[in-house]
Amino acid sequence: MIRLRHTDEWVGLMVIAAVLLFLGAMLEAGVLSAWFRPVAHLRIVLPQSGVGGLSAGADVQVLGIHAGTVGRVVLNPNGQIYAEADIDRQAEPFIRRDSTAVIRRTFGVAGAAYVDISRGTGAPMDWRYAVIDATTEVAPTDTLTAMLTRVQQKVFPVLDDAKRTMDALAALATGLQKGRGTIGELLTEDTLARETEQQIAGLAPVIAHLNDAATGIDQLAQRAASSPQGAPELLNRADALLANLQSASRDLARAAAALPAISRNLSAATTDLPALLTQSQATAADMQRLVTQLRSLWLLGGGGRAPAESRRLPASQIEP
Amino acid sequence: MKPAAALLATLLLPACTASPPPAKPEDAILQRESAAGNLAFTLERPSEAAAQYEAALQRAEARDDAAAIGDYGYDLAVAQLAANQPKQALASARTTRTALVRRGAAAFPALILVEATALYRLGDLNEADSLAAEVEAGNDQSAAAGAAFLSGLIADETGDPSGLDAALARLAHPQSLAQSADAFELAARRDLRDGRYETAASEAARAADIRRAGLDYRGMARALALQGAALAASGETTRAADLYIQAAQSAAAQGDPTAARPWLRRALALANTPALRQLARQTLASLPTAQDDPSQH
Repeated sequence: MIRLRHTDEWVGLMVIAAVLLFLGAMLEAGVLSAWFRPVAHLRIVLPQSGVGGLSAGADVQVLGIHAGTVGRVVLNPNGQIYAEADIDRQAEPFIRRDSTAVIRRTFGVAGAAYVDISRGTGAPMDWRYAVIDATTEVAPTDTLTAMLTRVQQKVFPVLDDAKRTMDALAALATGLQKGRGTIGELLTEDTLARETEQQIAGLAPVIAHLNDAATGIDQLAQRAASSPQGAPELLNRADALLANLQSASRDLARAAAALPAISRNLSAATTDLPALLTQSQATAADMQRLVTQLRSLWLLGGGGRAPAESRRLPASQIEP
Repeated sequence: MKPAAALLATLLLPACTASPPPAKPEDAILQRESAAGNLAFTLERPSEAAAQYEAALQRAEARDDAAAIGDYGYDLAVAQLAANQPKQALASARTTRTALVRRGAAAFPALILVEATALYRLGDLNEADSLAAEVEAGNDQSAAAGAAFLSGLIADETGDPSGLDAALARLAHPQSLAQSADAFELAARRDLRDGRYETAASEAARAADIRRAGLDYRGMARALALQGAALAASGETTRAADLYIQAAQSAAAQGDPTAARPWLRRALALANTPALRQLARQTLASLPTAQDDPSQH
């Protein structure tokens, strides 16, 4: 039987060696340095349309340089999504209030998502509560997909229409071949053509009549132009009439020159008419009074003062 | 002698120096408008007379002269009645009556008679009869006689024989030829109702003659139509149709197609000869339409 000696010492030595090995590995991995490195906290408000595959541990880059790590992605109960990132202190001067964050993928359309923060030139960030909005970079595949969808939406109806048109053309050609419709009949039968020829032949007498009529009109026009009662005579009469009219208008123009004087004379004569009318009325009233007085004179057979005349019409004038 | 001469001089001096009191100034414009109205009415131009009386009435209102307003308002209404404008006459009479009452004066019987007559022509027989009774109770004999005749006409048209008799009794002693014609016409109406057609026809003819002589052509036409009714009742339809046509022609010539139209229709119904029917139709066709009838406005 093998007897082990100094067992406890050996075990203790191995434990110490393991611990030392672990610490060494950690130092080598930089974990500890990361623990003790000073960092700033940045809240990145993520777009509502999606975080583009961003998760805890994702890189944060400034100008393409690793500047921090996403600590966690938080889904706020009020619907807001944000990520908390630890930013190296050395990157703080580059991240300012006008900096923008874009969520990208390492290889464009694939790879791990990371946050690319642009270099700001505005006011410095208040690092006690640093917040920045992020957008998701549109993937080229998304653009391609959308474009293909639009092309599909435009092309397929055109193709459908073309198919329908071709079908109709095919049906039309079939119908024409079978002699359907007027054009089909024209193509397949010559009856219509013969009828048309007959009708054109029947038009010949009509055209001959029209020629005769045109000749007659021609002769009539010649007669009207040459006859003593024709158009020349009519024009002569119209000329004479116009000459008379011109003469009359000249006379009128001469008479119109005297119109202002006539008007003035009339105006002067009529100015006195109202006064003359009033005087005539007064004279008539005086004459009436005189006649009344004469009638009442006893020398002329009157009976003294005339009885007062009633202003009212007699009641006998009221007729039912 | 000296005291006697002094006394005579004292007595004669005022007589020599006294001048007549200054004449009250008269409104010449008012008198002129009134005289022009009277002249136009005498010349049977009632529309012109109405215009003149209207001007006189405006002048009287300018004077605020109650008596003149009453007189010329009355004259205006009478002229409008003569121009066959009963609606306007009724309005004028009522306006005048209101104007008099507002100035503390009462409406005189003749003015009330105009109002009653206008109402009768417009077909309001009850109101016309009531006003006629008021006039008969007044102190104007001439107006009372006119009111009695109007009451008789209303009584005849409403089928009231006792009222007709009463009116006839009030006209038993006519004071003028016009009143005599009124009495004859009422007697003819009573006799026609009582079946004494021949008597009625002769009385109506008498009334027509008197009215023709008195230049009352409106009353004459009415009497002719009454004579025609009496003859038609007695069976003399041709003569009756003739009389109806004569009455209608007279009314049409006076510009009263409203009165002429029913008489012509009656003549058409009675005429038994083509010539009479043709004459009635022609006269009826020549009448102005209702829109052109001045009494309808």
